[in-house]
Amino acid sequence: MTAAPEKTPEEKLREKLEPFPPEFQELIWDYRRTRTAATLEKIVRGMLEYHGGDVFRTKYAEKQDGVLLVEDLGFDSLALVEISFQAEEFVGIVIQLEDFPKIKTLGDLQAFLREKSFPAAAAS
Amino acid sequence: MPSRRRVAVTGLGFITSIGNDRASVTASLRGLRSGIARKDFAGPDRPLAVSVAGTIREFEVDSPFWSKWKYPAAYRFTPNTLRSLAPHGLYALCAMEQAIADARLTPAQVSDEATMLFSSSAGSPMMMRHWLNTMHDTPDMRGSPMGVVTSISGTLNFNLGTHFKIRGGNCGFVSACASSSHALGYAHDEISLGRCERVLVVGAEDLNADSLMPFMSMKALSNCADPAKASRPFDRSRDGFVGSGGAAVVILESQDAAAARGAKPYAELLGWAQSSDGFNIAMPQPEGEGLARALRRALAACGLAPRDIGYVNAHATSTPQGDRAEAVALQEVFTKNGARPLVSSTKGLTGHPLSMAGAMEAAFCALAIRDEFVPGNANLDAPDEACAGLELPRATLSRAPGIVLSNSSGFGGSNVVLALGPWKS
Repeated sequence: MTAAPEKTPEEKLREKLEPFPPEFQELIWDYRRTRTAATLEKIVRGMLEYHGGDVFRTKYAEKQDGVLLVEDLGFDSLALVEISFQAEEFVGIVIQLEDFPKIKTLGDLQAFLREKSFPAAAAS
Repeated sequence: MPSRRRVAVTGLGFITSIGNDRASVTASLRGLRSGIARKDFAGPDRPLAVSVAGTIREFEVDSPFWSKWKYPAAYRFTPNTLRSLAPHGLYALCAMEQAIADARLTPAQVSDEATMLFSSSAGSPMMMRHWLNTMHDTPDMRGSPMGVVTSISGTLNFNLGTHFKIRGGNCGFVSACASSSHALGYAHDEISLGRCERVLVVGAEDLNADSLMPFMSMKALSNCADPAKASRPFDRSRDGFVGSGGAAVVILESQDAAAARGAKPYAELLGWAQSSDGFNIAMPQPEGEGLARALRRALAACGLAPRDIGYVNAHATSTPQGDRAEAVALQEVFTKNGARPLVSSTKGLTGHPLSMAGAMEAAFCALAIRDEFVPGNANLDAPDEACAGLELPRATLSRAPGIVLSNSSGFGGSNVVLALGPWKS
Protein backbone atom coordinates (compact mmCIF):
# COMPACT_ATOMS: atom_id res chain seq x y z
CA MET A 1 0.00 0.00 0.00
CA THR A 2 1.31 3.43 -0.90
CA ALA A 3 1.16 6.06 1.83
CA ALA A 4 -0.75 9.23 1.01
CA PRO A 5 1.63 12.04 0.01
CA GLU A 6 2.46 14.50 2.79
CA LYS A 7 0.38 17.64 2.55
CA THR A 8 2.25 20.87 1.90
CA PRO A 9 1.96 23.68 4.48
CA GLU A 10 -0.18 25.58 1.95
CA GLU A 11 -2.55 22.64 1.58
CA LYS A 12 -2.86 22.32 5.33
CA LEU A 13 -3.56 26.03 5.68
CA ARG A 14 -6.16 25.87 2.92
CA GLU A 15 -7.95 23.12 4.87
CA LYS A 16 -7.88 25.19 8.05
CA LEU A 17 -9.35 28.13 6.18
CA GLU A 18 -12.18 26.15 4.61
CA PRO A 19 -14.87 27.17 7.09
CA PHE A 20 -14.07 30.87 6.73
CA PRO A 21 -15.60 33.21 4.13
CA PRO A 22 -13.59 33.79 0.92
CA GLU A 23 -12.74 37.40 1.77
CA PHE A 24 -11.19 36.28 5.05
CA GLN A 25 -9.20 33.57 3.30
CA GLU A 26 -7.91 36.20 0.89
CA LEU A 27 -6.75 38.32 3.84
CA ILE A 28 -4.67 35.41 5.14
CA TRP A 29 -2.98 34.78 1.81
CA ASP A 30 -2.42 38.54 1.43
CA TYR A 31 -0.85 38.72 4.89
CA ARG A 32 1.51 35.89 4.07
CA ARG A 33 2.72 37.90 1.09
CA THR A 34 2.80 41.41 2.55
CA ARG A 35 2.89 41.06 6.35
CA THR A 36 1.38 44.46 7.09
CA ALA A 37 0.00 45.50 10.45
CA ALA A 38 -3.15 46.82 8.79
CA THR A 39 -3.93 43.41 7.28
CA LEU A 40 -3.20 41.73 10.60
CA GLU A 41 -5.78 43.94 12.31
CA LYS A 42 -8.36 43.06 9.65
CA ILE A 43 -7.59 39.38 10.19
CA VAL A 44 -8.20 39.63 13.92
CA ARG A 45 -11.45 41.47 13.31
CA GLY A 46 -12.44 38.81 10.75
CA MET A 47 -11.75 36.02 13.24
CA LEU A 48 -13.94 37.60 15.86
CA GLU A 49 -16.67 38.29 13.30
CA TYR A 50 -16.59 34.61 12.30
CA HIS A 51 -16.87 33.46 15.90
CA GLY A 52 -19.25 36.19 17.05
CA GLY A 53 -21.56 36.51 14.05
CA ASP A 54 -24.31 39.12 14.28
CA VAL A 55 -23.50 39.81 17.92
CA PHE A 56 -20.00 40.88 16.92
CA ARG A 57 -21.29 43.10 14.12
CA THR A 58 -23.74 44.83 16.45
CA LYS A 59 -21.22 45.30 19.23
CA TYR A 60 -18.47 46.40 16.85
CA ALA A 61 -20.71 49.12 15.41
CA GLU A 62 -21.22 50.32 18.96
CA LYS A 63 -17.81 49.87 20.59
CA GLN A 64 -15.26 49.37 17.80
CA ASP A 65 -12.02 47.97 19.24
CA GLY A 66 -13.51 48.02 22.72
CA VAL A 67 -15.69 44.97 22.06
CA LEU A 68 -15.26 42.61 25.03
CA LEU A 69 -14.53 38.98 24.11
CA VAL A 70 -16.28 37.36 27.06
CA GLU A 71 -18.86 39.87 28.25
CA ASP A 72 -20.01 41.17 24.85
CA LEU A 73 -19.41 38.20 22.58
CA GLY A 74 -20.11 35.42 25.08
CA PHE A 75 -16.93 33.49 24.29
CA ASP A 76 -16.21 30.65 26.70
CA SER A 77 -12.83 29.09 27.38
CA LEU A 78 -13.16 26.64 24.47
CA ALA A 79 -13.88 29.48 22.06
CA LEU A 80 -10.85 31.39 23.32
CA VAL A 81 -8.65 28.32 22.88
CA GLU A 82 -10.00 27.85 19.35
CA ILE A 83 -9.22 31.49 18.56
CA SER A 84 -5.71 31.10 19.94
CA PHE A 85 -5.11 28.00 17.80
CA GLN A 86 -6.35 29.85 14.73
CA ALA A 87 -4.14 32.85 15.47
CA GLU A 88 -1.18 30.49 15.52
CA GLU A 89 -2.22 28.75 12.30
CA PHE A 90 -3.11 31.92 10.39
CA VAL A 91 -0.53 34.47 11.51
CA GLY A 92 2.06 32.31 13.27
CA ILE A 93 1.75 33.79 16.76
CA VAL A 94 1.31 31.61 19.84
CA ILE A 95 -1.09 32.88 22.48
CA GLN A 96 -0.44 31.12 25.77
CA LEU A 97 -3.31 30.49 28.14
CA GLU A 98 -1.65 32.78 30.67
CA ASP A 99 -1.82 35.61 28.12
CA PHE A 100 -5.61 35.56 28.01
CA PRO A 101 -6.28 37.48 31.22
CA LYS A 102 -4.55 40.46 29.56
CA ILE A 103 -6.60 40.12 26.38
CA LYS A 104 -10.08 41.36 27.14
CA THR A 105 -11.07 43.25 23.99
CA LEU A 106 -10.70 43.15 20.22
CA GLY A 107 -8.18 45.96 20.58
CA ASP A 108 -6.18 43.99 23.15
CA LEU A 109 -6.02 40.99 20.80
CA GLN A 110 -4.98 43.14 17.87
CA ALA A 111 -2.29 44.84 19.97
CA PHE A 112 -0.99 41.54 21.35
CA LEU A 113 -0.61 39.99 17.90
CA ARG A 114 0.82 43.21 16.43
CA GLU A 115 3.48 43.45 19.13
CA LYS A 116 4.45 39.80 18.70
CA SER A 117 4.49 40.09 14.91
CA PHE A 118 6.24 43.43 14.64
CA PRO A 119 8.41 43.76 17.76
CA ALA A 120 10.68 46.38 16.23
CA ALA A 121 7.76 48.65 15.39
CA ALA A 122 6.35 48.19 18.87
CA ALA A 123 9.69 49.15 20.44
CA SER A 124 10.25 52.28 18.35
CA MET B 1 -44.65 2.62 48.89
CA PRO B 2 -46.15 5.96 47.79
CA SER B 3 -48.68 5.79 44.96
CA ARG B 4 -47.22 6.36 41.55
CA ARG B 5 -48.00 9.51 39.62
CA ARG B 6 -49.46 9.59 36.11
CA VAL B 7 -47.25 10.81 33.28
CA ALA B 8 -48.56 12.98 30.45
CA VAL B 9 -47.13 13.61 27.00
CA THR B 10 -47.46 17.38 26.61
CA GLY B 11 -45.14 18.41 23.79
CA LEU B 12 -43.68 16.97 20.59
CA GLY B 13 -40.99 18.09 18.16
CA PHE B 14 -39.94 16.57 14.85
CA ILE B 15 -37.08 16.88 12.41
CA THR B 16 -37.66 13.68 10.46
CA SER B 17 -37.61 12.24 6.99
CA ILE B 18 -41.42 12.50 6.84
CA GLY B 19 -41.66 16.07 8.04
CA ASN B 20 -40.05 18.81 10.05
CA ASP B 21 -43.10 19.73 12.11
CA ARG B 22 -46.10 18.04 13.67
CA ALA B 23 -48.54 18.90 10.90
CA SER B 24 -46.42 17.51 8.09
CA VAL B 25 -45.54 14.39 10.09
CA THR B 26 -49.23 13.76 10.78
CA ALA B 27 -50.08 14.25 7.11
CA SER B 28 -47.34 11.81 6.10
CA LEU B 29 -48.51 9.17 8.57
CA ARG B 30 -52.12 9.55 7.50
CA GLY B 31 -51.33 9.57 3.78
CA LEU B 32 -48.45 7.05 3.93
CA ARG B 33 -46.15 9.66 2.38
CA SER B 34 -42.63 8.27 2.37
CA GLY B 35 -39.56 10.21 3.47
CA ILE B 36 -37.16 7.89 1.68
CA ALA B 37 -35.20 9.26 -1.27
CA ARG B 38 -32.04 8.68 -3.26
CA LYS B 39 -28.85 9.70 -1.50
CA ASP B 40 -25.27 9.65 -2.79
CA PHE B 41 -23.38 8.89 0.39
CA ALA B 42 -19.96 9.18 -1.22
CA GLY B 43 -20.70 11.64 -4.01
CA PRO B 44 -21.99 11.12 -7.56
CA ASP B 45 -18.71 9.67 -8.83
CA ARG B 46 -18.58 6.87 -6.30
CA PRO B 47 -21.74 4.75 -6.52
CA LEU B 48 -22.33 2.45 -3.57
CA ALA B 49 -24.49 -0.60 -3.06
CA VAL B 50 -26.60 1.51 -0.69
CA SER B 51 -28.19 4.49 -2.40
CA VAL B 52 -31.33 5.46 -0.50
CA ALA B 53 -32.05 6.97 2.90
CA GLY B 54 -34.72 8.65 4.95
CA THR B 55 -33.38 12.10 4.11
CA ILE B 56 -33.92 15.28 6.11
CA ARG B 57 -35.23 18.11 3.93
CA GLU B 58 -34.33 21.79 4.39
CA PHE B 59 -31.04 21.00 6.14
CA GLU B 60 -27.58 20.93 4.54
CA VAL B 61 -25.23 19.66 7.20
CA ASP B 62 -22.76 17.41 5.37
CA SER B 63 -19.80 19.62 6.28
CA PRO B 64 -18.00 19.29 9.61
CA PHE B 65 -17.93 23.11 9.71
CA TRP B 66 -20.94 24.80 11.29
CA SER B 67 -20.39 27.90 9.18
CA LYS B 68 -21.22 25.86 6.07
CA TRP B 69 -24.53 24.54 7.39
CA LYS B 70 -27.90 25.63 6.05
CA TYR B 71 -31.10 25.19 7.99
CA PRO B 72 -34.62 26.62 7.95
CA ALA B 73 -34.89 30.36 8.50
CA ALA B 74 -37.48 29.77 11.24
CA TYR B 75 -34.57 28.86 13.52
CA ARG B 76 -31.71 31.20 14.36
CA PHE B 77 -28.69 30.15 16.37
CA THR B 78 -25.52 32.11 17.13
CA PRO B 79 -22.01 30.86 16.37
CA ASN B 80 -21.55 30.41 20.12
CA THR B 81 -24.31 27.78 20.01
CA LEU B 82 -23.43 26.21 16.67
CA ARG B 83 -19.68 25.75 17.13
CA SER B 84 -19.98 22.86 19.56
CA LEU B 85 -22.70 20.97 17.69
CA ALA B 86 -22.73 17.90 15.49
CA PRO B 87 -25.29 17.87 12.66
CA HIS B 88 -27.73 15.94 14.81
CA GLY B 89 -27.27 18.52 17.54
CA LEU B 90 -28.66 21.11 15.15
CA TYR B 91 -31.60 18.84 14.33
CA ALA B 92 -32.17 18.37 18.06
CA LEU B 93 -32.10 22.09 18.85
CA CYS B 94 -34.77 22.68 16.22
CA ALA B 95 -36.94 19.79 17.44
CA MET B 96 -36.54 20.98 21.05
CA GLU B 97 -37.67 24.50 20.15
CA GLN B 98 -40.74 23.00 18.47
CA ALA B 99 -41.58 20.76 21.41
CA ILE B 100 -41.14 23.52 24.00
CA ALA B 101 -43.41 25.81 21.97
CA ASP B 102 -45.87 22.95 21.46
CA ALA B 103 -46.04 22.31 25.20
CA ARG B 104 -46.28 26.08 25.83
CA LEU B 105 -43.44 25.96 28.33
CA THR B 106 -41.71 29.18 29.31
CA PRO B 107 -37.90 29.42 29.44
CA ALA B 108 -38.22 29.62 33.23
CA GLN B 109 -40.14 26.34 33.35
CA VAL B 110 -37.64 24.61 31.07
CA SER B 111 -34.86 25.79 33.34
CA ASP B 112 -36.49 25.16 36.70
CA GLU B 113 -35.07 22.64 39.15
CA ALA B 114 -37.86 20.13 38.47
CA THR B 115 -37.07 19.75 34.75
CA MET B 116 -34.62 17.18 33.43
CA LEU B 117 -33.15 16.41 30.01
CA PHE B 118 -32.68 12.81 28.83
CA SER B 119 -31.07 12.32 25.46
CA SER B 120 -29.89 9.61 23.11
CA SER B 121 -27.57 9.59 20.15
CA ALA B 122 -24.65 7.60 18.86
CA GLY B 123 -22.52 10.72 18.85
CA SER B 124 -21.20 11.95 15.55
CA PRO B 125 -18.83 9.61 13.70
CA MET B 126 -18.39 12.29 11.02
CA MET B 127 -17.22 14.91 13.47
CA MET B 128 -15.08 12.35 15.29
CA ARG B 129 -13.37 11.35 12.05
CA HIS B 130 -12.79 14.95 11.05
CA TRP B 131 -11.31 16.06 14.34
CA LEU B 132 -9.19 12.93 14.83
CA ASN B 133 -7.80 13.32 11.30
CA THR B 134 -6.99 16.92 12.11
CA MET B 135 -5.29 15.84 15.32
CA HIS B 136 -3.18 13.17 13.61
CA ASP B 137 -2.30 15.64 10.88
CA THR B 138 -0.74 18.03 13.38
CA PRO B 139 2.86 17.36 14.51
CA ASP B 140 2.10 17.75 18.24
CA MET B 141 -1.30 15.96 17.88
CA ARG B 142 -3.07 19.12 18.89
CA GLY B 143 -6.66 18.76 17.81
CA SER B 144 -9.55 21.18 17.99
CA PRO B 145 -10.88 22.24 21.39
CA MET B 146 -14.31 21.47 19.89
CA GLY B 147 -13.32 17.90 19.03
CA VAL B 148 -14.80 16.23 22.10
CA VAL B 149 -17.96 18.26 22.57
CA THR B 150 -19.06 17.96 18.94
CA SER B 151 -18.32 14.26 18.62
CA ILE B 152 -18.78 11.92 21.52
CA SER B 153 -22.05 10.32 22.48
CA GLY B 154 -22.68 12.93 25.18
CA THR B 155 -22.72 15.76 22.64
CA LEU B 156 -26.49 16.20 22.92
CA ASN B 157 -26.37 16.41 26.70
CA PHE B 158 -23.55 18.95 26.67
CA ASN B 159 -25.10 21.21 24.10
CA LEU B 160 -28.82 20.99 24.82
CA GLY B 161 -28.33 21.09 28.57
CA THR B 162 -26.34 24.30 28.24
CA HIS B 163 -28.48 25.95 25.58
CA PHE B 164 -31.74 25.36 27.44
CA LYS B 165 -30.18 25.95 30.89
CA ILE B 166 -31.32 22.57 32.23
CA ARG B 167 -30.91 22.41 36.03
CA GLY B 168 -32.98 19.42 37.19
CA GLY B 169 -30.78 16.69 35.70
CA ASN B 170 -29.04 15.90 32.42
CA CYS B 171 -28.41 12.32 31.37
CA GLY B 172 -27.67 10.28 28.25
CA PHE B 173 -28.81 6.77 27.32
CA VAL B 174 -26.93 4.28 25.18
CA SER B 175 -28.58 1.02 24.15
CA ALA B 176 -28.21 1.30 20.37
CA CYS B 177 -31.58 1.44 18.63
CA ALA B 178 -33.48 1.13 21.91
CA SER B 179 -31.72 4.18 23.42
CA SER B 180 -34.40 6.82 23.28
CA SER B 181 -37.04 4.29 24.35
CA HIS B 182 -34.93 3.62 27.41
CA ALA B 183 -34.73 7.39 27.92
CA LEU B 184 -38.53 7.63 27.80
CA GLY B 185 -38.92 4.70 30.16
CA TYR B 186 -36.60 6.08 32.77
CA ALA B 187 -38.10 9.54 32.33
CA HIS B 188 -41.49 7.99 33.09
CA ASP B 189 -40.09 6.50 36.27
CA GLU B 190 -38.41 9.73 37.42
CA ILE B 191 -41.74 11.56 37.13
CA SER B 192 -43.82 8.69 38.42
CA LEU B 193 -41.65 8.35 41.51
CA GLY B 194 -41.85 12.08 42.20
CA ARG B 195 -38.20 12.84 41.56
CA CYS B 196 -39.03 15.56 39.04
CA GLU B 197 -42.03 17.14 37.34
CA ARG B 198 -40.93 17.18 33.75
CA VAL B 199 -38.43 15.48 31.41
CA LEU B 200 -37.48 16.64 27.93
CA VAL B 201 -36.61 13.44 26.06
CA VAL B 202 -34.69 13.74 22.81
CA GLY B 203 -33.34 11.23 20.32
CA ALA B 204 -31.22 12.42 17.41
CA GLU B 205 -28.83 11.05 14.81
CA ASP B 206 -26.60 12.30 12.01
CA LEU B 207 -27.38 11.06 8.52
CA ASN B 208 -24.22 10.71 6.46
CA ALA B 209 -21.73 8.13 5.25
CA ASP B 210 -19.95 7.97 8.60
CA SER B 211 -23.13 7.27 10.55
CA LEU B 212 -24.57 4.70 8.14
CA MET B 213 -22.01 3.03 5.90
CA PRO B 214 -20.54 0.93 8.74
CA PHE B 215 -23.92 -0.84 8.76
CA MET B 216 -23.46 -1.66 5.08
CA SER B 217 -20.40 -3.69 6.02
CA MET B 218 -22.59 -5.66 8.41
CA LYS B 219 -25.03 -6.42 5.55
CA ALA B 220 -27.71 -4.69 7.60
CA LEU B 221 -28.73 -2.09 4.98
CA SER B 222 -31.07 -2.53 2.04
CA ASN B 223 -29.39 -2.67 -1.36
CA CYS B 224 -32.63 -1.78 -3.10
CA ALA B 225 -32.15 1.40 -5.14
CA ASP B 226 -35.86 2.18 -5.40
CA PRO B 227 -36.89 4.61 -2.65
CA ALA B 228 -40.48 3.44 -2.98
CA LYS B 229 -39.61 -0.16 -2.18
CA ALA B 230 -36.40 -0.27 -0.17
CA SER B 231 -37.90 -0.13 3.34
CA ARG B 232 -40.58 -2.84 3.56
CA PRO B 233 -40.97 -4.09 7.12
CA PHE B 234 -42.55 -7.54 7.47
CA ASP B 235 -42.54 -8.07 3.69
CA ARG B 236 -41.03 -11.29 2.32
CA SER B 237 -38.76 -9.37 -0.02
CA ARG B 238 -37.23 -7.09 2.61
CA ASP B 239 -33.43 -7.03 2.42
CA GLY B 240 -32.25 -4.69 5.16
CA PHE B 241 -33.01 -1.36 6.75
CA VAL B 242 -32.90 2.09 5.18
CA GLY B 243 -30.97 4.50 7.35
CA SER B 244 -32.25 7.83 8.51
CA GLY B 245 -31.47 10.59 10.99
CA GLY B 246 -32.97 13.76 12.39
CA ALA B 247 -34.36 14.43 15.85
CA ALA B 248 -37.51 13.77 17.83
CA VAL B 249 -38.49 15.27 21.17
CA VAL B 250 -41.14 14.09 23.59
CA ILE B 251 -41.95 16.18 26.65
CA LEU B 252 -43.27 14.24 29.63
CA GLU B 253 -44.85 15.87 32.66
CA SER B 254 -46.50 14.80 35.86
CA GLN B 255 -50.26 15.05 35.92
CA ASP B 256 -50.02 17.82 38.53
CA ALA B 257 -47.50 19.89 36.58
CA ALA B 258 -49.49 19.53 33.36
CA ALA B 259 -52.75 20.43 35.08
CA ALA B 260 -51.23 23.42 36.85
CA ARG B 261 -50.24 24.86 33.48
CA GLY B 262 -53.52 24.00 31.80
CA ALA B 263 -51.67 21.73 29.36
CA LYS B 264 -53.68 19.49 27.06
CA PRO B 265 -51.83 16.17 26.93
CA TYR B 266 -51.58 14.16 23.76
CA ALA B 267 -51.58 10.90 25.64
CA GLU B 268 -50.54 9.17 28.84
CA LEU B 269 -47.31 7.20 29.04
CA LEU B 270 -48.79 4.37 31.06
CA GLY B 271 -45.59 2.49 31.77
CA TRP B 272 -42.84 0.48 30.21
CA ALA B 273 -40.59 -2.53 30.52
CA GLN B 274 -37.33 -3.83 29.20
CA SER B 275 -35.48 -7.09 28.71
CA SER B 276 -32.31 -8.33 27.08
CA ASP B 277 -31.63 -11.27 24.81
CA GLY B 278 -28.21 -12.32 26.08
CA PHE B 279 -27.72 -13.87 22.68
CA ASN B 280 -25.68 -11.97 20.10
CA ILE B 281 -23.99 -8.61 19.63
CA ALA B 282 -26.08 -7.71 16.58
CA MET B 283 -28.71 -10.38 15.87
CA PRO B 284 -31.92 -10.73 17.84
CA GLN B 285 -32.75 -14.04 19.44
CA PRO B 286 -34.48 -15.71 16.47
CA GLU B 287 -37.66 -16.65 18.33
CA GLY B 288 -38.08 -13.17 19.77
CA GLU B 289 -37.83 -14.47 23.32
CA GLY B 290 -36.31 -11.26 24.67
CA LEU B 291 -38.86 -8.98 23.05
CA ALA B 292 -41.72 -11.26 24.13
CA ARG B 293 -40.44 -10.99 27.69
CA ALA B 294 -40.39 -7.18 27.46
CA LEU B 295 -43.93 -7.20 26.02
CA ARG B 296 -45.24 -9.36 28.86
CA ARG B 297 -43.48 -7.23 31.44
CA ALA B 298 -44.90 -4.03 29.95
CA LEU B 299 -48.41 -5.47 30.08
CA ALA B 300 -47.90 -6.57 33.67
CA ALA B 301 -46.39 -3.22 34.69
CA CYS B 302 -49.49 -1.43 33.40
CA GLY B 303 -52.03 -3.99 34.62
CA LEU B 304 -53.03 -4.79 31.05
CA ALA B 305 -54.00 -8.00 29.26
CA PRO B 306 -53.05 -8.77 25.63
CA ARG B 307 -56.64 -8.11 24.55
CA ASP B 308 -56.43 -4.55 25.96
CA ILE B 309 -53.95 -3.51 23.30
CA GLY B 310 -55.36 -1.88 20.18
CA TYR B 311 -52.18 -1.12 18.25
CA VAL B 312 -48.50 -2.06 18.32
CA ASN B 313 -46.00 0.26 16.68
CA ALA B 314 -43.40 -2.36 15.82
CA HIS B 315 -39.67 -1.85 15.83
CA ALA B 316 -39.45 -3.82 12.54
CA THR B 317 -36.68 -2.19 10.54
CA SER B 318 -37.02 -4.29 7.38
CA THR B 319 -34.17 -6.67 8.18
CA PRO B 320 -34.86 -10.36 7.53
CA GLN B 321 -33.90 -11.54 11.01
CA GLY B 322 -35.20 -8.65 13.12
CA ASP B 323 -38.68 -8.47 11.62
CA ARG B 324 -39.11 -12.22 11.85
CA ALA B 325 -38.09 -12.31 15.52
CA GLU B 326 -40.48 -9.48 16.32
CA ALA B 327 -43.33 -11.18 14.44
CA VAL B 328 -42.74 -14.37 16.42
CA ALA B 329 -42.71 -12.41 19.68
CA LEU B 330 -45.98 -10.70 18.79
CA GLN B 331 -47.56 -14.06 17.91
CA GLU B 332 -46.39 -15.50 21.18
CA VAL B 333 -47.76 -12.68 23.35
CA PHE B 334 -50.89 -11.74 21.40
CA THR B 335 -52.03 -14.27 18.78
CA LYS B 336 -51.59 -17.29 21.06
CA ASN B 337 -53.65 -15.50 23.69
CA GLY B 338 -56.49 -14.71 21.33
CA ALA B 339 -55.56 -11.04 20.95
CA ARG B 340 -55.26 -9.36 17.55
CA PRO B 341 -53.98 -5.80 17.92
CA LEU B 342 -53.23 -3.87 14.77
CA VAL B 343 -49.49 -3.95 14.06
CA SER B 344 -47.49 -1.63 11.83
CA SER B 345 -43.96 -0.43 11.42
CA THR B 346 -43.71 3.22 10.46
CA LYS B 347 -40.13 2.61 9.31
CA GLY B 348 -41.59 1.72 5.92
CA LEU B 349 -42.14 5.48 5.63
CA THR B 350 -39.29 6.93 7.65
CA GLY B 351 -36.41 4.51 7.37
CA HIS B 352 -34.57 3.67 10.56
CA PRO B 353 -33.02 6.56 12.52
CA LEU B 354 -31.15 4.30 14.96
CA SER B 355 -31.16 5.59 18.53
CA MET B 356 -33.81 8.24 17.84
CA ALA B 357 -36.32 5.64 16.62
CA GLY B 358 -37.92 5.10 20.02
CA ALA B 359 -38.62 8.78 20.71
CA MET B 360 -39.82 9.34 17.14
CA GLU B 361 -42.17 6.37 17.20
CA ALA B 362 -43.50 7.12 20.69
CA ALA B 363 -44.26 10.61 19.37
CA PHE B 364 -46.05 9.04 16.38
CA CYS B 365 -48.10 6.93 18.83
CA ALA B 366 -49.02 10.03 20.84
CA LEU B 367 -50.19 11.72 17.63
CA ALA B 368 -52.15 8.63 16.62
CA ILE B 369 -53.88 8.50 20.01
CA ARG B 370 -54.80 12.18 20.07
CA ASP B 371 -55.80 12.43 16.41
CA GLU B 372 -57.40 8.97 16.29
CA PHE B 373 -55.67 7.10 13.51
CA VAL B 374 -53.58 3.96 13.10
CA PRO B 375 -50.60 4.21 10.72
CA GLY B 376 -50.51 1.56 8.02
CA ASN B 377 -47.63 -0.59 6.78
CA ALA B 378 -46.07 1.10 3.78
CA ASN B 379 -44.64 -1.18 1.06
CA LEU B 380 -46.10 -4.32 2.56
CA ASP B 381 -47.13 -6.47 -0.40
CA ALA B 382 -46.58 -10.07 0.72
CA PRO B 383 -46.19 -10.51 4.48
CA ASP B 384 -43.53 -12.90 5.75
CA GLU B 385 -44.98 -16.26 6.71
CA ALA B 386 -43.91 -15.55 10.29
CA CYS B 387 -46.56 -12.82 10.32
CA ALA B 388 -49.47 -15.24 9.84
CA GLY B 389 -52.22 -14.23 12.23
CA LEU B 390 -50.95 -10.71 12.78
CA GLU B 391 -53.22 -7.82 11.80
CA LEU B 392 -51.05 -5.73 9.49
CA PRO B 393 -53.10 -2.91 7.97
CA ARG B 394 -51.74 -1.73 4.62
CA ALA B 395 -53.44 1.68 4.72
CA THR B 396 -53.70 4.10 7.60
CA LEU B 397 -56.99 3.65 9.43
CA SER B 398 -59.05 6.57 10.70
CA ARG B 399 -59.95 5.20 14.07
CA ALA B 400 -58.81 5.55 17.66
CA PRO B 401 -56.07 3.03 18.37
CA GLY B 402 -56.93 2.62 22.06
CA ILE B 403 -53.99 1.51 24.14
CA VAL B 404 -50.77 1.38 22.17
CA LEU B 405 -47.43 -0.36 22.60
CA SER B 406 -44.25 0.96 21.00
CA ASN B 407 -41.46 -1.59 20.59
CA SER B 408 -37.75 -0.92 20.27
CA SER B 409 -34.84 -3.33 20.02
CA GLY B 410 -31.14 -2.60 19.77
CA PHE B 411 -27.82 -4.30 19.14
CA GLY B 412 -26.77 -6.46 22.02
CA GLY B 413 -30.36 -7.61 22.45
CA SER B 414 -31.80 -4.63 24.33
CA ASN B 415 -35.58 -4.58 24.16
CA VAL B 416 -37.91 -1.83 25.38
CA VAL B 417 -41.70 -1.68 25.24
CA LEU B 418 -43.55 1.55 26.04
CA ALA B 419 -47.30 1.60 26.72
CA LEU B 420 -49.32 4.70 25.87
CA GLY B 421 -53.02 5.40 26.14
CA PRO B 422 -55.54 8.22 25.77
CA TRP B 423 -55.27 10.92 28.43
CA LYS B 424 -58.19 10.81 30.81
CA SER B 425 -58.61 13.89 32.98
